[in-house]
Amino acid sequence: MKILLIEDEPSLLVAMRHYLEGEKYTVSTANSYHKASEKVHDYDYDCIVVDITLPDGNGLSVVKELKEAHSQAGIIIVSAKNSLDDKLTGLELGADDYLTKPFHLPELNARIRSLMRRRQHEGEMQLTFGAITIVPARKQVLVNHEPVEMTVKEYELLLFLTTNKGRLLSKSVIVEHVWGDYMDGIDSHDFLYTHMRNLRRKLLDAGSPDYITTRYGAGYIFSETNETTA
Amino acid sequence: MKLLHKTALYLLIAAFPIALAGVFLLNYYIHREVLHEIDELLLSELILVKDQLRQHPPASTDLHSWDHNLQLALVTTPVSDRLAFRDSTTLDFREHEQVAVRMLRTGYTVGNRHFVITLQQSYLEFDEIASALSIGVIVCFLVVVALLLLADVIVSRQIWQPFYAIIRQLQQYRVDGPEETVFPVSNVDEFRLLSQSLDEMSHRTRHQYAQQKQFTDNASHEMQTPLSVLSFELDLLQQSDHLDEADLERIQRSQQSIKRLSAMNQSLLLLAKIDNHQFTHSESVDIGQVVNQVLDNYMDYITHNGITFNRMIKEGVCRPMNRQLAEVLFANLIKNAVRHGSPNSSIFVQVGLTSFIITNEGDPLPFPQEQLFQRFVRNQALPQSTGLGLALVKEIASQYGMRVEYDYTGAMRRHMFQVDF
Repeated sequence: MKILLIEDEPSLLVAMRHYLEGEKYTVSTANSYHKASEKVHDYDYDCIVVDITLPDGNGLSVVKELKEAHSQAGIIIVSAKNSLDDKLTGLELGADDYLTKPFHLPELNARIRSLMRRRQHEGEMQLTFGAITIVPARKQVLVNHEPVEMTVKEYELLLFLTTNKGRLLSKSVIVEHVWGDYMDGIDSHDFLYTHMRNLRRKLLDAGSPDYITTRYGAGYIFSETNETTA
Repeated sequence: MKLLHKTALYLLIAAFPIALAGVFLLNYYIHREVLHEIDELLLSELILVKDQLRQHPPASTDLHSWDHNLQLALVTTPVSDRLAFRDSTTLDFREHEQVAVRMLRTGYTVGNRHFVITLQQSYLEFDEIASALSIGVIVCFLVVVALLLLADVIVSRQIWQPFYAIIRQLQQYRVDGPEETVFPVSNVDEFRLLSQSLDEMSHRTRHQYAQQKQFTDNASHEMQTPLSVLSFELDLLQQSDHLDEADLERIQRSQQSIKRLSAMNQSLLLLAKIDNHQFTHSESVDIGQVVNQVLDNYMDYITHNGITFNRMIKEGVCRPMNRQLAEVLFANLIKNAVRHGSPNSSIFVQVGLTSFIITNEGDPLPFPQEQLFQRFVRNQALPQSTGLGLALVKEIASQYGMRVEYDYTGAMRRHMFQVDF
């Protein structure tokens, strides 16, 4: 899957590239509007992550150009401004998603995956992780081909963990992804622990191995190869 | 009332006493002139009478007058030839009523005969003419005034045209509008000056507004970018296999600090933007709906803590507000109650026709109540708090002329926030 990152801050570019390459994407980068414009004309990408503020232009212009060229690429706008106007303008121009800095790399990965799933007609898609199968179109989880009843939040938790499988996800990143900005500044350690415990119990009860590892003081890791028995 | 109409009205009001005083003055003046003329008439007649008496001195028996306006009398002693004028009345023969007359009485001696001459002249017509004249003149005066006013109204309407055009432009003026407002040019000096001054003022304001907006935008960008770098590096560092538990905890704490710094930055920028009136777009916001949505977002969390929402929410109560600000206003108050609410208690939320009320159980404030809405005043027990949430509430509320009140009932251990909108 080919991704173009458009961002003028070199350290951000390096970090994003590093994380996304670890997720098996093919990553290209551009650090100015001019270079970005050239790249989107010359190559096809599956997903483009574009910062609105560029030294020589506005990232929204790139979105406009892509739409004028009837590009099929998914577009995620990144902005340092938590500005509703920019968000609305971006989405109106045809961007698919909007992220406000600072965000976390697992969150960026989840947004890209989700966007790619929507683009690839997720109807037939099944994501398999060991004994667990997720059917995104129906928001359904199967363990050993048997459906498991889950709440919406438990489903989103599992999807986020599997999307960033093998990665240590901190509690605040998980809470922010599943419950949103509303939980900012609210002590959510016990809260997440309870939900995580319920999710694990449901998976275990359905006969799945325990793929979720707790790293005390840090967070959780989902990994099919790192099976532990509860 | 329009300036034009007000001027006209005042002029009309002033015209009436002027007209009234004018009637009396004119009447007095004409009267004096008439008197003067009549006196002259009487004097010239007296000369004629004296001539007659000198040339044809009448016999004493023959003294009854030829004319009822003239009376001659023979007296034995000489009478002073001083001219005595006086006003009197006499019976009019034709109309059988008393009419005002002017009388002249004097003595005259021809040889050794002494006459008393009394001449009289009726005011009759003169008086009527005087009144008619003064009233006529005043009516003309009033008509002229009215016509002038009418002309003034018509002319003024034309002359004030550019002024109204400027007002219309001003009404449409938006400091963040897409185009610079150009005020209409007039050939009247005063209006041209006004137009020019407004042009300059609007240009200056737009410039300042743009600069301030740019500053807040840049500040946001410049601050958020290094924070992003920090956050990304920690995200990557966290993935390392060589970290022990203490290291991971340090990373978590750093991430939380970054998050708090970022939230603070966002809140300060929001406060600055509100101060600068950068949220100009407003729409009709259904307050009940906004409140319900925010409450729904906290359902998982409060259920986990054994807290219940006791909702009495009326949907359909709308106020013109910026949607983003409305959400921040109510979300901050609700988050405040959720965060500080004691476990296993209830949070009461009410949205009525004119007010929003939220109460939660909890310990009293750890700082004086007056400081509650001040920036950076916060409960030290909550490390993630920015101390800006309630400052934002206050700022947004005052932006829309809403009042925020706080109360704590010690007996019930309940905090209460009320927003009157």
